[in-house]
Amino acid sequence: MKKLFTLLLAVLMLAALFTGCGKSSDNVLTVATSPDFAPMEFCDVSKTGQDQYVGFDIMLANYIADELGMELEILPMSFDSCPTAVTSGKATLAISGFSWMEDRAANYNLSDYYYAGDNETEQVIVTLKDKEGQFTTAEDFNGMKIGAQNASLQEQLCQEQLPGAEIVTVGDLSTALMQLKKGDFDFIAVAKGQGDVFLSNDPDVALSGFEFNVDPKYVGNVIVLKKGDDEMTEKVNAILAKAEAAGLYEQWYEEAEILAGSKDAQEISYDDNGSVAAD
Amino acid sequence: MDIGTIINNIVDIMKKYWRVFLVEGVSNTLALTAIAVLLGALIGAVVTMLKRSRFRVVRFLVTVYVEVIRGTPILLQLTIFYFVVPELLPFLNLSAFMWVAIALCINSSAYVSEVFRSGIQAVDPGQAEAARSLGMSKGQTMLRIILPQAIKNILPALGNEFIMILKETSLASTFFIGDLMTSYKKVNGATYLNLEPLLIVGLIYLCMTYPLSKLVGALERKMAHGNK
Repeated sequence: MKKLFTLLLAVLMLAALFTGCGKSSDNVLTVATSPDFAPMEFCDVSKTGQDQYVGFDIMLANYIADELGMELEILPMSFDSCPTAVTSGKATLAISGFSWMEDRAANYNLSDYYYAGDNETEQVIVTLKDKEGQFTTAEDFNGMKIGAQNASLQEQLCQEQLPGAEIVTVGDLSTALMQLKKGDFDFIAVAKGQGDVFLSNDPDVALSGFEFNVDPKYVGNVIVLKKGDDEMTEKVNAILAKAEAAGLYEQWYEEAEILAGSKDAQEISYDDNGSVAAD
Repeated sequence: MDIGTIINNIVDIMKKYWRVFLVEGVSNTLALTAIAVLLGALIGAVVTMLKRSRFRVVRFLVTVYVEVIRGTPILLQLTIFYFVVPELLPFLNLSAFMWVAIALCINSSAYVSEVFRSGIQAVDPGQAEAARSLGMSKGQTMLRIILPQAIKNILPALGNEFIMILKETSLASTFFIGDLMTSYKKVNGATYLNLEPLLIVGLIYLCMTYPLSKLVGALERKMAHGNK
């Protein structure tokens, strides 16, 4: 028993060894994000550490941290985990291209809107080339299978506006693209910006012709905060207003798109013959 | 789906991102596995000892520990260790990597303890009885008679457990801690290519697990040798 106690103590001391490395100061703004969604947030693989996280939302996070006079720390994690990070207090903000949604608003404090170019303003349905432009009304989708990302705005839009369609929930959009080509479903509901990326990367993909009727409240993105963290929400809203007045959003989005398009993203694409056109 | 295109894409991805996969991904995955396996085996040994304790309460608590950890998904455990435990222990200021490593340690300890337990139980009880009747103490019996025989059962199973853990570290990519599956997510996020980086990652995992499983096989044969 005594030996055991010694062993346990040794393990604890070992654990204590690792303490102290990492953040400690109160003057750090922690932001949860899912860096797998160019151009909003993604990784620049030529860099390491905190520098590797780039994109529109990261620029926004930097701006907020600067305005608050705090140091920014990005906490990368999956999209589903970001709100959990806010609830648990691990992160102060979650900035990951979140849309305003009723259930989200019920469980979290959401900031005012910020606008990332045309990324979210239009919501479309993509399909394979042979069905291009043939589906224009909601009735056309009756009995059809549509892929939509779990807990996304697109899933909600499908439910509301395409009551006759069967919604297939997918985990992430690049898997959805493969499922579409495999024939698991014939359509994917996506934000226009994302759809454009699909179209430019893959000659088999085309627009179906249908466009969702998007309520203005869904057009912008919001920052997710802990429920009841009103003080920080107010501060963030003031900063967002300032950024919008200064016209920073357009500038950031342009920069992010250039970064995503030229440097480390989408460099490998399919040309018209279906073969690779790497630049 | 055209095989030629896929192969071309794989080559292009590797040209551009080899460092993300082979340096960053592999080193983090191996580090995570090493920590999880070594500390996991240590904690697992302690758990096995406690499970053989004289005190009913201790035995009960340890059984609950093992059953809860073996009976819940590892993703849940990772999430709890990433989000909840750090809040409960604010004085332990560990990095995300360490919390994930600890979660994997705890997870592997439960499985390893069962490997130890079954290995020990598989030794013929007559051996212990004989040792005891020859006047050996309980400790001596365990150390000199039971354990040397149990190790033969334990080592190969432990090797398999290591291989399992190596693959399970991929779930840690939920928190982007830099393991091999995180490399996949990064490349996938930047290129919108899914299958190609996944194939690369799969091949690298295979390259890591195959030598391990060969080693386990060799160990098994060596251990079986003594049975004749």
